[in-house]
Amino acid sequence: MIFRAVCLLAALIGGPVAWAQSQAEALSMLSRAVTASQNMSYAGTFVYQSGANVETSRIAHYVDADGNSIERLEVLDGSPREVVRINDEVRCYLPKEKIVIEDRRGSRKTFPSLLPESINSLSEFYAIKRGAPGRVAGFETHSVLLEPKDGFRFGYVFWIEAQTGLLLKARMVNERGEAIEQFAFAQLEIGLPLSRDDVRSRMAVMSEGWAVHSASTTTGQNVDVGWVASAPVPGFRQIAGMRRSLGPDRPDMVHMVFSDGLAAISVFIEPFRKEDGNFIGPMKHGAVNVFKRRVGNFIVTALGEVPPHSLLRMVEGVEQKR
Amino acid sequence: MKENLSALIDNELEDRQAQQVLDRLHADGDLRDEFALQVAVGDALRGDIGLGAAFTASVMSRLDDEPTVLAPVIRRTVTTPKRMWMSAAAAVSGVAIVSWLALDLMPAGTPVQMAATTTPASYTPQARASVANNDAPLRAYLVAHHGYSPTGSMQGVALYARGVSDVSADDRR
Repeated sequence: MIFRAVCLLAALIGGPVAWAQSQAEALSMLSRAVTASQNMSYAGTFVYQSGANVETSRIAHYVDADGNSIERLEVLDGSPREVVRINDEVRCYLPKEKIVIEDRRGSRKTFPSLLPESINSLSEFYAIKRGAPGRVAGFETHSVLLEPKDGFRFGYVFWIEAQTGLLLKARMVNERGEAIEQFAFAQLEIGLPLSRDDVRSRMAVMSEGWAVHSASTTTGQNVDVGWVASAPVPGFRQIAGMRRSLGPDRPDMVHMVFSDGLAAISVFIEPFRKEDGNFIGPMKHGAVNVFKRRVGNFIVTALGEVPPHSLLRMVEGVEQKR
Repeated sequence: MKENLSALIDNELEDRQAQQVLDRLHADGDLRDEFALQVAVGDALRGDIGLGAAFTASVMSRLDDEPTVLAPVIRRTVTTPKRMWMSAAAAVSGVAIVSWLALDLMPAGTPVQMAATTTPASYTPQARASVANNDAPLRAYLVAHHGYSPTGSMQGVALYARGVSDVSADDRR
């Protein structure tokens, strides 16, 4: 009888302790993954899967002697596409459409935003624990599970390489635990002696004359943009607000970003144009949901890796400050 | 409330009514499931996107929940040819949709039965066309969005695979 009582007591005390320990370990793994992705040089092949769509890409990350982080991604399936990131400048080359999409962020200091302090606040919205270890692309990995505490966000599973802390596989899951989207390395070499040429764009030379879609920020990343989201989605707080230039002949666009520490919702506000008329309502781009709504003479587009009803709520609350 | 849900999906509600439905959606898990199902059915019928095996299971369980009618059935002796043709067409398209749905977004580890696949002929070309013609602004939005996505700090440029991927995008639901 006494033995039973002791066992019960041990289970009652030991349960939460083990759980807290599992959460702390899981958070520290995520933290390591952030650092590793910025500091390690690597090259490999990874598979991106969204619904029935599967694409293989080659990827290389190179950190030069000055600490500049340069990455190149080349899609190997279907039409050739390339993404090159140099610190905070991203260029996507889409030869089939003859388009270059450019994105230049301001200060590098503010982001990436998955910093240790925001990692700690993740536990408000996700139950975080260690999962089973496993092999990915020939490497032993630890896994981390993030189970959402409400229906406003999806769940995640991350597989993190045991030695270096590099993220090798990431899966986003719906409320039934089914994969919505997955990134996974199929082959990888970590710590390679890469050179600048390994991450240099192959398509830049042929992109002359292509249409350039650029929306460079014209303000700081945290300015008053004259708009608010009055019915925020639980857990999502605004992490950025800026104006972006769409070209000399068009007024600036407003871009606000909301995040719960892991998932993000972007809200874009542009003056309404006639051609926007037929594209109001919910849409989808792979695992990213999109919702467009007309507010007065503006088109408000919310998008993010969250369930459709979260976007609906976000977009319904967007209004101009009076 | 279910009628309002359909109206909301079709964007036919006044702002105030829409807000009421949204509030109910947040509070009511069953209603959220209903919402997801209605959107899914709409997608499927339009051939816009693929859905998971869970969708089929959900529809089947919904059918199981339907009350069984024990009233005597009046046997029709004459069936007009037109009606027969319609039910046959409905049956065929139903089979096509369900088996095609089962392909997409499968839970990991579920074997894909290639033999059972029938893709509605009109699906793929339409979806692809809308990607090629309309989604440059959406891709630009995605690229801007991913610059601020916290997961990007772990995934780096890999996250941009989303923005440039050739998924059936920009389809109006």
